[in-house]
Amino acid sequence: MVKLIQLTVAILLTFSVITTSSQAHAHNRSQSFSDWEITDNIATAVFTAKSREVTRLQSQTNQSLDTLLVSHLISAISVSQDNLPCSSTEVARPIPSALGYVRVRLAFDCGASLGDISISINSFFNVASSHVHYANMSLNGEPSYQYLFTNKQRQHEITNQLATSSHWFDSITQFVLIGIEHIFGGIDHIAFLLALLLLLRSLKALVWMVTGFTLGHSITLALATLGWVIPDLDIVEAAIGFTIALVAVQNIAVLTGKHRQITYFSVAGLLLIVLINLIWNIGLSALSGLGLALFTLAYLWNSADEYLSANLRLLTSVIFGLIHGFGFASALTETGLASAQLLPALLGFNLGIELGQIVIIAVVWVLLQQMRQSRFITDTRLVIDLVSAALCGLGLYWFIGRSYGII
Amino acid sequence: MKSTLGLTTNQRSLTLLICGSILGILVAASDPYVSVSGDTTVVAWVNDTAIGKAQYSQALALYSQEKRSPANAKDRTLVLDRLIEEELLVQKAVNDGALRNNLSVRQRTLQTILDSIQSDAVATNGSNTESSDKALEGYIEQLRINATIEWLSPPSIVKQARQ
Repeated sequence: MVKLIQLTVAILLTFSVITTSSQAHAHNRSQSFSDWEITDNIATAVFTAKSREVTRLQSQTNQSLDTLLVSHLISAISVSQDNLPCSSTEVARPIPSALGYVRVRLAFDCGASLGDISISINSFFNVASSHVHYANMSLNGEPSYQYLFTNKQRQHEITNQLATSSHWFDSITQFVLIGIEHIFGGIDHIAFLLALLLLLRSLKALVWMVTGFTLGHSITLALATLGWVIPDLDIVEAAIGFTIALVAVQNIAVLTGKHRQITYFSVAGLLLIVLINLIWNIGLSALSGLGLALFTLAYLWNSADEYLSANLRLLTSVIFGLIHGFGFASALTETGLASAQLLPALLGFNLGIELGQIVIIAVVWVLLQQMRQSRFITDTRLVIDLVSAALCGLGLYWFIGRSYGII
Repeated sequence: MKSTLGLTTNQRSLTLLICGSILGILVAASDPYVSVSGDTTVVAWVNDTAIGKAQYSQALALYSQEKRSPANAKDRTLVLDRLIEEELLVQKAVNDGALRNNLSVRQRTLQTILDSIQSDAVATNGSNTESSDKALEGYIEQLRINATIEWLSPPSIVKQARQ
């Protein structure tokens, strides 16, 4: 009994560490955006940040968020040409914005010099080192290109030849970095990959799984980024949490052989969510809940048959990939992509996701192999049980929290 | 096979799965992130509308100034209660369409918005009538840009009809 309590405490600790980390809110990253127009050495910008982000700047004086952001940006943004600072042509001022956002307009005059303009953005980095700023720059009416400002890269030279192949390449490179940053920063995607890998033993199965997942998320990432499909992000976010819980539950079902009982229990839980929606009209829609219940029924039921399960691995991985791809797309489109940059952004971002995914899978795979061969870990089953239970809890935390708008 | 817990290995797996699941649901339902991580940008919700920490701190500071002493726990509850009541009244007014139907409410709201834009401009750029007028003009211009305005009759016809 004492050991059971110890185990429960172990799950509790694992779970608490993950849920209380800032990344448990995987899609609440610290970020801001700006749109720049540079013509005849005059640079005008509209800076946008979430109100929540601006509260980080909260000072002792009780200024409004608009005033707070204006004061911050006056010192945080500077424009120069040939190493000479450009002067402000008009005072930075707040402009109307959507609910939950603050927008500020700034303008700089760089005089008559002919050199390339250099823009330095230092906003929010002193209060959030992981902050990312996406700036869309349009030079002399040309299609705009996006520049990424991070804690390490706070300055960019805006050249007069934006539409060259080197810029196309730069653009892809930037989005590769954004893709890598997204997958490493999105603990839900990592948790899902970990859950998928826990029981995989053969390299062939791994290849099928990775291929299916990549195919699936590439399809929906492209469809949503190009605007051909507009997913309901709340459902997507909840479904991502659900996939983690489902795969973790499947791991335990495979280990225990109690597929039938676990399937019934899981489907009953989902039907309860459907019922709650039908009675009180809250949370995940009844149709979505029914869809998930049907999928769970088929997925867990089939996992009882090892042969069938192995044959369907590619298909199920594609389905999981389709759901996660919409999540990736929301991160990409949130950056306010310029239309001219859509293709390099899509290619770069997907490549970044793949690179990050390969690194995560390789590390987890090696760790799992090491654990199985280790003399120090005598009960590998216990480790898999514990990790699966923690992942199931984490997946349900996201699924329930996001379904009911709690987190 | 019996595990070290006196349970079979399968029972242990299922027990852990149930513990993990219950924990996940409980943690989500109690939203510990807000309290555990110190992320307290929202202090209360009134019918899905947040009362932000900044708004609360501002009200508390004003209250302390009036009282001329630091606010205690009772004062803090009072201030938050006041903000909640205020929000309830605002929601009632919005639902009843007071801003659209009540001329007095409409005029006072407009004046407050105009004052707020101008005072923000003064706070940022110092006391300068020209810059605050410019800020106001810019603000309205942005509203026009973002709005969809459709004239059903050309302005000249409307003018003639009025004459």
